[in-house]
Amino acid sequence: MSADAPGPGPGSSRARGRLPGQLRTLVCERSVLDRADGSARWTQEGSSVLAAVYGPRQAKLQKEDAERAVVEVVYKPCSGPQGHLDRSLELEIRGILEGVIPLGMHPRTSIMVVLQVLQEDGSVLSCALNAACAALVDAGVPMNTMYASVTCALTPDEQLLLDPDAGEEQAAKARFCFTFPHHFDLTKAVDGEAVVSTSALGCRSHGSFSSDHLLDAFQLTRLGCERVAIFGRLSLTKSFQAAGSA
Amino acid sequence: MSAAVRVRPHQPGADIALIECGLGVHDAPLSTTFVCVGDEISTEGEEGFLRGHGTQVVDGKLVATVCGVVERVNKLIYVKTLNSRYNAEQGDVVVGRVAEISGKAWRVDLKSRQESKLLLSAVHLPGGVQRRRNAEDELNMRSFFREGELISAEIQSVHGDGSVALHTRSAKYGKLTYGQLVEVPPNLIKRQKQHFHTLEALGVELIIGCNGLVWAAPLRADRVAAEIGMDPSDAASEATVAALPPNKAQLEVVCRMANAVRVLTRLYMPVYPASIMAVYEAAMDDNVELRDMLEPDFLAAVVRQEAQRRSSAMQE
Repeated sequence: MSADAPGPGPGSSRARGRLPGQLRTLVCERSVLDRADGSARWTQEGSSVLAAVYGPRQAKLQKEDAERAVVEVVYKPCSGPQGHLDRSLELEIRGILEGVIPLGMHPRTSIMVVLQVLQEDGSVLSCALNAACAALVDAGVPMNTMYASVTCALTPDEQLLLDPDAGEEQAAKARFCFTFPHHFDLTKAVDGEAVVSTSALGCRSHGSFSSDHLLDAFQLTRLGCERVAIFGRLSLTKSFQAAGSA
Repeated sequence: MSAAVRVRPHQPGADIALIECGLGVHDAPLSTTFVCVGDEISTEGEEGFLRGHGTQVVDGKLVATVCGVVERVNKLIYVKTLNSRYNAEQGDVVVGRVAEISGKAWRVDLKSRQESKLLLSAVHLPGGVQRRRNAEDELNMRSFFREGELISAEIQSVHGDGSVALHTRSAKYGKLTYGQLVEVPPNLIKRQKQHFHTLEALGVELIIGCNGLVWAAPLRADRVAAEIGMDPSDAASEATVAALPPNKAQLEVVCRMANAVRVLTRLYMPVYPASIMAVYEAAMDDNVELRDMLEPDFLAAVVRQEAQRRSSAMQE
């Protein structure tokens, strides 16, 4: 697969030689907010999302559920008020989080996840999902499994690009955002080997594509999630080293 | 005249850098019991272990549900996170704020996962008399505790769904007035035999709530009476004597204690009477002004003191 893809601007990492299957630089800052129970800022080069988690805490009477915790997601775009698209993203994110958090453990509580998009440069939904995962870990909310999310774009000439930026997303004829749960097999290596599940937690697509494209994107994003998982664990052990040894 | 308000730029991670430099933990080996969500916790050699917070059993294996450090206490295995909300346990002394009054119970906010309930029948009536609460008591609930007031109480029971019941069935529990509240992460507070500390030499009363709320107030004669278990009617007479608001000197001592707790919180050090007194005495020895106690210089001095204490403890 050649590195020349239509769409990306001259200053983008793809023009600087980023391969189609290569992710952008990842940065994760944890515990950035004082008042939230947990917070994280996840940056994928040009895209950056700040996630804050409040909970589990007492739910409002109208919203409380006697048997399980209630997950509320607020997604705030970079600029402008919330639109119908943002509401639809909130539903998608809530569905994924409800699949990952054991809700029966905390009845009558609410877990609120607020996502604020700070910078938009493609793959924003993936960035937001990854930020939410890091913030939930920071808050100490119990989860069944960690997850990672990667976006993939299908260019007009049938090429799949991982972690597209804004220009590539606009030029693409379809894009997919896949979320995979993962865990670490500690018996294989000292720091554990990332094992990404073969079933996805979530899939959000946009545009027109064939089933072959969907399955290829599924496989490609699964490989990408492995790298996000390794990065996430590394960043977590570093932040633990600093604070936990004090 | 110096400015009343000092503004400093926010430097995230500055405190962590202080701790790293002071305690020399740059290249400290990571504890091998660090686990992440989904990691399996080894239970080899342990028969009949008890599963604690942060774990769940999946396919017969013990798996972590939070990221943290595995702690083993006798047969209990649990995962301790850096941040978490307070988990109520029976018998804990807590400090909470009354959120609302609803039909025969006060709802008290403990900064935990759910609000707790303080039933009218679980409150210590004045005069120590034990009687059935009637409708008049219910109408006069506000005369006991109003919305927004701070109270100290003990956890009576924790139900299966996580809801908590409190009681104040002793003269030492009750409304807290004329003092300062400091919020501390609950992980920094260890459960100890005593949570009420009266420092008579300084004239300060300290309540270290297990839910992370620490209360410092000037010592009052009626509180001392309650501590030593005096007859409630005598205690009431002492109360009328001591109902005056505290003077400036007393308040300054209370502020210093509260600042000492804040310093420990910033440096992520455990909060208990000995550590609070160590910080307080360090501030007094170095003649640190009240408002300079949270400055980076004093924080660095506290870190150095802690490093010395640790190295001397290791040498023993």
